[in-house]
Amino acid sequence: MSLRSKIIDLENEIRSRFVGNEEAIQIMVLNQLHPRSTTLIRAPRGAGKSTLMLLMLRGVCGDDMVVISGASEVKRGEVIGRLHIPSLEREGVERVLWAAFTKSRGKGLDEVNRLNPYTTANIHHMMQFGEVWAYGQRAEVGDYTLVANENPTDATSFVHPQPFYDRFDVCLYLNSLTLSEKFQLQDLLERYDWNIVDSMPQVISFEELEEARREVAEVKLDPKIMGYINLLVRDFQVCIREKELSEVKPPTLCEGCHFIRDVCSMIKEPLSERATVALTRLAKAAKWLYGSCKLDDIFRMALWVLLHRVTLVRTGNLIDSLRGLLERERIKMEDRNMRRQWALLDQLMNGFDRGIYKLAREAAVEDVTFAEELMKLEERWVRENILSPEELLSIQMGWKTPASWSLRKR
Amino acid sequence: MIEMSSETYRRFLRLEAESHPVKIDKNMISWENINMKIQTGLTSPSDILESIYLKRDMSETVVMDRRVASLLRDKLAGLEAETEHLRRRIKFMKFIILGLSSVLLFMLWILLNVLSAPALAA
Repeated sequence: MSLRSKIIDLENEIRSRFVGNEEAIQIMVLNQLHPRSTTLIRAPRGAGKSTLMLLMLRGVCGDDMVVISGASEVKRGEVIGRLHIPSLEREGVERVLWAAFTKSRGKGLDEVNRLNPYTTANIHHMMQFGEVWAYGQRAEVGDYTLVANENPTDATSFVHPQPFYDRFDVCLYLNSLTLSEKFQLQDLLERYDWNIVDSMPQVISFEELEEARREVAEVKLDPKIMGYINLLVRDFQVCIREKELSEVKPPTLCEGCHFIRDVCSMIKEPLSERATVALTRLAKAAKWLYGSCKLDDIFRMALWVLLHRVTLVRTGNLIDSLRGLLERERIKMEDRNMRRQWALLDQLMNGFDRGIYKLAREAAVEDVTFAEELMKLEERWVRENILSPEELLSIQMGWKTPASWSLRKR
Repeated sequence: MIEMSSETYRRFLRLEAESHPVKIDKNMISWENINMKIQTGLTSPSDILESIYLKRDMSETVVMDRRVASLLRDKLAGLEAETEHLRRRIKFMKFIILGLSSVLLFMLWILLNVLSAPALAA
């Protein structure tokens, strides 16, 4: 059986045991197809987040998995490693016994929001650097699959730092079951003797999963798809007033801004570059598994990549708000095509033309991301004495002091 | 020619330029707007925006693509918010008018009393 068939089997096995949330399962499976995969599941209590976590870990790791239940009492020794006391007493040597969690390939964190900040910091380090430290000793952690879950409305939560959550590739929100789905669940429970997780077979060996991960890493994406991924992330980051460096955040920062009705004004904290990496990996996985990855797929996957990374100015229902923003972003991309912005920029890359430049400037006053690229070209043209500094878009719109000014001063 | 740091970025621009090209003549830059072509049939979107903005006649059945529907939904949401804002303002103004009318009536009553007092005294 080919690796692709096994991955599709994995998805089918999980689907046959988990009712509803089809898209979440699909994204979760795609997210397994890169090294050191991390998935966060968020749902209210009883929605099946632990079940889904266990189904996935069993499906790819079999018995080679350890699940840590989040509790403030969980210490580093249980998660990372503890000191071997006999060695210290008899030989005076500090030997570390690395915890099963560190050594296992399947790692589960149940109710991660309840873990104390100290233990969380150790896990954060493992996710960041692929290594763990205890008592001055280091152990490298090989490839793994990590699935965590949490209930964001849990009253006993610790507030973990945003960079910790940023290390999770995707964040899946689970829905509660509809009426007909409740009947399906009851049928399933009876079929599997009320023990769905134990019935889950290991569908793919971890070595095979590693092989699939290597194949996915080799996949080359279409430059158009790469371009749209970068555009999407940039549009969710960009701010002409540099909100990422500003202490004043939107909506206050946006008062009087030219782009006050744009997507940028709806986002309080911009995305990190990890969003691009996560989305690219998902796109590669989709291309490897299904043979193609289109723009619609990118927008569908983006929802799960952005949910835990973006902070919106106004949030009623986070998923609905983000879907609305992605819809607006899609319109913006269409508008760019209608205005021929990229064709104009392509022409300007080949050489300066005043007529094309004029059209590009008109487009730039309505599009910050495009304006940034045009301003970079303008700075070069100033250095080459094609444009005078007074003509620059950035100067005329009062957006930013271009580097060309400081170069001239020097 | 301006050198580029990423070849993929350059290829992205080139591919976008190929799929949405511009025509450059000696003194004119132009392009054909594919989305502005009149389309018929229920499976293709009819130009609803033209009927709204340019007051052109609509056909019996209107089909719109997702992009246009989202644009309209966004505009409707904005209009609803604006209507709600105006409704609140009208309510507030009604209270102000009611209050001012009461004050005016009260002052009129005082004025009448003051004017009629000397007459009564006489």
